[in-house]
Amino acid sequence: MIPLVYILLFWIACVAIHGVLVFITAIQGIKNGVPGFFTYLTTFLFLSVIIAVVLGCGSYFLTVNWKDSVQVIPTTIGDFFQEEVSVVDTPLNE
Amino acid sequence: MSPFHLPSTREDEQTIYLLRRHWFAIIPVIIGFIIVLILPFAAYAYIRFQYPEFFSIQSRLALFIVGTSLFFLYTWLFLYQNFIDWILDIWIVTNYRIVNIEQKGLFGRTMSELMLYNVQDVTSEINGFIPTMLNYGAVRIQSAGEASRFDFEDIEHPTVIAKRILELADMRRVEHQREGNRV
Repeated sequence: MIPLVYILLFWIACVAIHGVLVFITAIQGIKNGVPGFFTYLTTFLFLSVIIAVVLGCGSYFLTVNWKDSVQVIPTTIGDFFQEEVSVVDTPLNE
Repeated sequence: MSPFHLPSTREDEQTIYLLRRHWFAIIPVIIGFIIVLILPFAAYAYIRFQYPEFFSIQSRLALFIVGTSLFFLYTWLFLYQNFIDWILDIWIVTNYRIVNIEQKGLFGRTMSELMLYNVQDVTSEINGFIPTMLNYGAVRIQSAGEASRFDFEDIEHPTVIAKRILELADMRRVEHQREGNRV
């Protein structure tokens, strides 16, 4: 079982690396592209999708209880997909 | 495009062609990436359909969203890098020279030029069904005294452009000889 907060930290680290790569790519696109509407439009579209995904995930992550744990590597596939059954106490002889 | 973008431009230099790769050349790449980008959504739909209770546990859904968002973000980045590789390949033909600007990956960029009076041979090539239908292909330019040649890949109307470059090269060669005789 891995604490979910580690997964969150991993996500933040990967998004940070992604941010650096995006910055380099966008600079290359703008610097070397022919200045014009199409260059700026495609760069804007590229950045908008990234911002939308990061903000969307961020807003979902605000609702997650990060103190939980998760089983990342299942012992068997069957266990991983097993449905959890809640046991309800009911009187036997009613 | 004005000759402003070209290095060491002459006063009477005019841009005849600004050539980019044909739009269809990027379509197979975009289709490939769209299929890859759909995969996380397809995986979600499949799990949801096969194991309806799987995502009822919040930690599993959080893990899935962490994984798919990273997958999506990096795939989107690679798609844009491929797009940049495609759009930043530019060939400029002026009344004096041919400028070849090629993007190779994210950090590789080659810029070379060839004076029109050095052009010896120009060949146009259209290979395949779709290039024939959409009229795009390659123009290969062989220069005198140089081993390397210029290749314009996936450009529109290659036959017309090859013919025009030959005409321009002939004109420039005559003028170059005249200038040489004057000196």
